Amino acid sequence: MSDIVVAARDLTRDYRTGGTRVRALRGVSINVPRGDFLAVTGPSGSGKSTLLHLLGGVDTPTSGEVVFLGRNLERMSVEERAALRLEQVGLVFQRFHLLPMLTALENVELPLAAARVPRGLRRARAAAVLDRVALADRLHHRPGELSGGQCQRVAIARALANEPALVLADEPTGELDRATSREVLALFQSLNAEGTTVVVATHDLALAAGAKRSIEVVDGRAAP
Amino acid sequence: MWRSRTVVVSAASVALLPWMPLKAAAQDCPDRLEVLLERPYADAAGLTVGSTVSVRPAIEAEPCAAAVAGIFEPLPDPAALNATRPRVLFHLPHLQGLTGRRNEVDYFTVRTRPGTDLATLAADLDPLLPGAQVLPVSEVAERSSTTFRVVSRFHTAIAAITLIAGGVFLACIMILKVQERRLPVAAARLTGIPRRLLFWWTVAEAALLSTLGGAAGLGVGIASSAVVNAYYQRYYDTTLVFSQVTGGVVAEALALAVLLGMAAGVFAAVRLLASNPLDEVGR
Repeated sequence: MSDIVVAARDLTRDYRTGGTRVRALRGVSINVPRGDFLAVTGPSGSGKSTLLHLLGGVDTPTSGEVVFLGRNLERMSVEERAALRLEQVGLVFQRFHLLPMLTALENVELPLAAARVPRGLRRARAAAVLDRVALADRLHHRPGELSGGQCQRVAIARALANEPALVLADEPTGELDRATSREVLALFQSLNAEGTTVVVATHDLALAAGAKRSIEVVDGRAAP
Repeated sequence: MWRSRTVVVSAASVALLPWMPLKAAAQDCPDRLEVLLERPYADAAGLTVGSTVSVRPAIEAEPCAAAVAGIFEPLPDPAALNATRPRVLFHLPHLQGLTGRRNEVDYFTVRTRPGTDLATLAADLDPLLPGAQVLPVSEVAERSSTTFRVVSRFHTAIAAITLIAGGVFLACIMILKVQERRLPVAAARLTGIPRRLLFWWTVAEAALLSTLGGAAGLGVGIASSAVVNAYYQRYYDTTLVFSQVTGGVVAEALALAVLLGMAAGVFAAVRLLASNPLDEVGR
């Protein structure tokens, strides 16, 4: 199996906003090896989130290519990329984006259900992942009954549910206070120590400092 | 036996005057004239089996004494709800003797065995009775129920308006619900959860919501129906069923609820899944 989870070569990404074309990324190349914990830093609008979306196959580049576990994402259909994301990529968002009517357990079960994991097994796996993020006592709470930090841990558990090769977190501490941010960092470090490959886009210097390495994206260009 | 006879004759042309003092009969009164009285009238007039009443074929005719041979419970008939004259049953020869009219009847009813095809029977009997019209009871009811048909059309119109309003309301609820979930659903799509799963989930949720609403509505309908029946049965002293929630009504209501729910769900799901999830979550 490849030691590189995801490799990006000479990525550019243009957007049209109104009548204007905006170049969000300008020729970014990056390799993320297995077991890495990479922080992508940079100011707002620098292209960090765009880079994460391209690495995870959420978006497609205007030019350049992304190779995920040896497969070129450009050559995959929308459905194939969705299936790849479901099974190999865990996404964590700044605002958690948990389904409010589902419990923590059900939110974590959702990607397992979509991956057609049998009900009994997915329940056990979801509970185990929530235990791993120290939420074993909050399985049946809905997002509205949880703190911001707990919601983010549920979101991380959801990202881990299908045991992905790569976890991509976009500003995971952006909505959290400093103490809770430290807890989330510790959780990512712990997951990384257990072998999970993590890429985090962040403004949070403490979070970036806790990663194994970091790159800075400024005006769409990456600098190590 | 009075009730088991297959021929029943209308006594609409015979006046019943139970409180009138009897005079000596100046006309040919049938011997041992007997009548059956309907129970509500007998109750109201304080008449029992064995009481004597006077009957006469026309207001100017001389009355005849008749013994009350029995009290019968009238068959529920919506057309007779506001009837002001009591219904009386005679032996046919007595009625003929009293009215002086021979071989004349307005109608008679043939009671059939359960399961008999009434339309076929009517078609078979019709040519055997020249000058008469043979009709299944349902058709007689249909012909005499113009008022009820109008009321029924009103009910249908009210039901249609209610269904349309309910469907619009449900669609609004679903749109509000999916609006709340726009971001999490976009995030779920980004994580690779298939669109069709989210689509059918939304449709199923709307159908479930609508079915539960339909079931609750049926519960209210059944309870209201019981109250309406209890009130009007007491008011009119009848066993007539004024409101009925049948199995067909239940099936139709639930089927409509599921269909409406699915339609509202499809509408909401299409709106929910139409946008680019990246635009929702933010690039």
